Amino acid sequence: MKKTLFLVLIVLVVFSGVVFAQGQKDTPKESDNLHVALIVKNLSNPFFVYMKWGGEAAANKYGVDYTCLAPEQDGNVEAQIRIMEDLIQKGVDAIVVVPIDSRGIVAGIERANKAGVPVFVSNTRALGGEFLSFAGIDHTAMAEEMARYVVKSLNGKGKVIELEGTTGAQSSIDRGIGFKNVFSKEPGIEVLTRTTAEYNKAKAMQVTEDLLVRYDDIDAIVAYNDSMALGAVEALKAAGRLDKVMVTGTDANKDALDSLRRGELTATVDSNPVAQTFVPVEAAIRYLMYNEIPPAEMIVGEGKPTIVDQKNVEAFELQVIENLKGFGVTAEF
Amino acid sequence: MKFKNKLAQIASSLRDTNTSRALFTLLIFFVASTIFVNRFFTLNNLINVLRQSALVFSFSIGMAIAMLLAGLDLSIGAVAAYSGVLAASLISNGYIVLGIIVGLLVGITCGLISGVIISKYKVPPFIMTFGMMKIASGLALNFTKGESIYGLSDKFRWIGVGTIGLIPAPLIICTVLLILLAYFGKRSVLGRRIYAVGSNRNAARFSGIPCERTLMIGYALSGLFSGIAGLMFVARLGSAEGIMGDGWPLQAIAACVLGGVSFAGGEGTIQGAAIGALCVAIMYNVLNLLGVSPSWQQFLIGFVIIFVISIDFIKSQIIRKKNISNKLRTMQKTA
Amino acid sequence: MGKKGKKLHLSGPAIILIVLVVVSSLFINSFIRIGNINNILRQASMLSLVAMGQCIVILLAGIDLSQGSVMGLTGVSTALILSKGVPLVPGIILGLAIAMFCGLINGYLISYVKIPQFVATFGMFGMALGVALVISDSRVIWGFPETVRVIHDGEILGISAPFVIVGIIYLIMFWLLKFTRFGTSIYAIGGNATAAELSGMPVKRNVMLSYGISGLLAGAAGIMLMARMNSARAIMGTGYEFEAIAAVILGGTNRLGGKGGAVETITGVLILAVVRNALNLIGVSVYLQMVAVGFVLIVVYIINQNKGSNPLRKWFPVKNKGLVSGTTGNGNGR
Repeated sequence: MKKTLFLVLIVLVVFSGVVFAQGQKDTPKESDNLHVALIVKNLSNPFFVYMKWGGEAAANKYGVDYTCLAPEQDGNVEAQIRIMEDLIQKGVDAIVVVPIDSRGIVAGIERANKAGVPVFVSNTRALGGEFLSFAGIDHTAMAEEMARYVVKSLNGKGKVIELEGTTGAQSSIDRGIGFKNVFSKEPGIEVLTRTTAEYNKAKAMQVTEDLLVRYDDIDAIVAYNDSMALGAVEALKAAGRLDKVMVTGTDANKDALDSLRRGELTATVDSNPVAQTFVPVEAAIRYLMYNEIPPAEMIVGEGKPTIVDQKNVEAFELQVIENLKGFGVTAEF
Repeated sequence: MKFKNKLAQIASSLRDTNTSRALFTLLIFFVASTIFVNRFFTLNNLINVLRQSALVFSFSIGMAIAMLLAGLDLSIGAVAAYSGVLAASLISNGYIVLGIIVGLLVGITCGLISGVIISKYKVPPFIMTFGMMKIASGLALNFTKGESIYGLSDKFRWIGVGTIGLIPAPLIICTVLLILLAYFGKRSVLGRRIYAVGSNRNAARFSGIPCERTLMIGYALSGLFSGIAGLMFVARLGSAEGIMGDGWPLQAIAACVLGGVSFAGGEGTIQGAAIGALCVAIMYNVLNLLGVSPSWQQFLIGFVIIFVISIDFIKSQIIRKKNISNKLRTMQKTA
Repeated sequence: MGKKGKKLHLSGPAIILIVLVVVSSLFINSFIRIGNINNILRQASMLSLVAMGQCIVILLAGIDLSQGSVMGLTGVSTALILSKGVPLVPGIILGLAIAMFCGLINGYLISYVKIPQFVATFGMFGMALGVALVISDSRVIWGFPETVRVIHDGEILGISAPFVIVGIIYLIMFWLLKFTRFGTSIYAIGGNATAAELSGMPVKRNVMLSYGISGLLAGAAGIMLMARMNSARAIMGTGYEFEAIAAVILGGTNRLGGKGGAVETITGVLILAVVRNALNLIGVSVYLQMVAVGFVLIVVYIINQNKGSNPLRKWFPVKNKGLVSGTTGNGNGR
């Protein structure tokens, strides 16, 4: 009796997680199809989940088999190498990878080169190995655009705090350069401090609470991603200082757009995750199918990075849904 | 009358040397921070520290119970995340009460499963709770598919961000929990059994204490409190993510260790864990206020923990040696 | 896989490993290819080193939470040393020295200052990581001569370098544990430290040395990882210690019975590596991979418990301490 009860409990726990799950499962198709794989940095941040959708949409468009994998642990580039090795063994026809570490991933790319599997790189550059193309956004340009927005909103004068991403992450370094480029040229802008919240919402909340104690006078908090920005927003809300401080993020995730609509977050910038994977995955498929050689660099998104703020959030969201439909993404945004 | 009881109870918990040592540590931390760190002793900051320590404490309760049972619970963060994520999906659809109940039930169930496997199948707590941590994290992430669940009602969020006057709600909730646990800790049958099983399982068994059942209930409680911690955490953040359990086990262990709870089992108190949680919160707070870079933060926290425990140990050695030499002297006198 | 005496005695985990390999070969196309097997072994090489160090510490009823940070510290230090122009071999030796030093500090704190192992190694986890972050300025270290990559990519007599290195180290450890007085003392201390001390064994010294070995092996793993990735980061070892502990226990090492050692450890490491590889080949989502690993860990342990007997338990009565190795009754027949 006790043992059955126990078994029932186990089944319930697992069952509840699986049954109430939202979204779709990836069901592998059985066919002698081409098989393209996408490796992202992790699958616990919505940004990379959107990237997964992008790759999936491209694969669906051409009827190609698709796998998307990522390390369990954030920041573990060795796991990415491992995944690449396993995928090569499995016999994938092309790999698109978003490297956690521009140098660490080289070993994996070289293995793919040795096995003759074509490699495409997305979002974060790889500094070595042979790959057919790099598709990405310019993190630095994105940050510069956001910095200019902040300067304009503050009328050229104000005290700013920057919340950096994971220590040593390439994207964080690049965005930092962008902000520095703009802020350092503005005499009226004072950067009080730059500290990391590791791209994490809870950490950002804690750090912001403490920063609010340190500094009485803050005009803007600029976060290198949306999760941290939202954490800062929560801390400001709890301290009752949200109306005096503007908060900006990066990535234009769904929850950030929601916050914009409610008038809490001030602005974010679109980094177009779906396109960042759709484009290279499509290029990989077309290379395999039609031997189309892609350009060495495919900068995703034409023209200036799009700033999304409280005024244009509705329009932006409609546009995103349109874009997703255009790509053929079936998941709901 | 009740007040006198409470005073007596506080006095007796302080006589517990582990907890009083923890209190001493806390005092040093507090005084040093007040003197050396600008803005530490301001109202806003103290409230921050209290709120953050309440959060750490909520995760440490489960760890403390497991440690008292001579074990540990590495799954506290992951179970909290799983509870939080399931609860959040219901709450964001308007079912607040149902969400809370589900969250707590998931916590209890995971804890119970751990407890049963640890007691009946004799799997070491490290392995079982490590496995549970992987399972719960995986299920939580699978449930959210990596996205975050937001849009939680303000009524629910009160337990995370609300205040009564200036006092943050998490602090109130945790204080109530603390008083209840401290009161029932050594008085209730279950409490005493936990201490007995933790300090010497064989002796406990021979005394007729149902060890397996105590273990099961202990870990189930750990799961329950992880669920509570998860709910408060989600309410504070305003959203739930599968990954949000990361890092909590280490903070909880730090809080328990600094609070005098021993891995050997049967030593330390829940109050000690609370004191340890305050120490941890003060440490992080001070490092942030000083603007210490995260690299140095890691180093200093590790260093401080070793330092504190060493001092502790050296002190207790000195006391022991003094006692022994005192005894020898009285023996010589009477001889 | 375990050769005890003249009978070929297959331990529970060994059987499980064989079953896993057979099932995977039958149901997954690409599993049994030479390239894949090579991959599995090479991917497991770092964990094998770390797990071997952890094994010794666990046999002592201890635990080493600092291995991941020591990996990172060693990798980063060695990378910095090599990029300053120091030749390969001295550079590696310096790096390993740093690693051993961290381990010896752990050992000293635990043995002589009597700080609980969890606390000491937990503190070292923070300190080593902190130092690594500081000296690397939280960045990726690269730009050292490519010659170091031979450790991972090279071949000795046609066999992959990592296999040779791991193989040699495991042989040394096997000999150390089973055929030297040092090794015997490890098992004795783990079973009953007081009895060991009273028997005249140099308990304190050997415990300290054991932690030194644990640190040293973690450092070796860090250097191998650095060679694999041709770069080093302070956080590159995070989490390895937990995987190592899981692998050691999975393999059947149990101080309460004097079981365990090199053979058991490599078995545990391979079980984890095979499971992960199989799941990657099938394409199971990363979330469910986590669930699977957790399940496997618990289930394998339970299965292993009911197999195999522990005859030594009668003569090594134990006090009920054991987060990692578990508690067992004294003379209660379990």
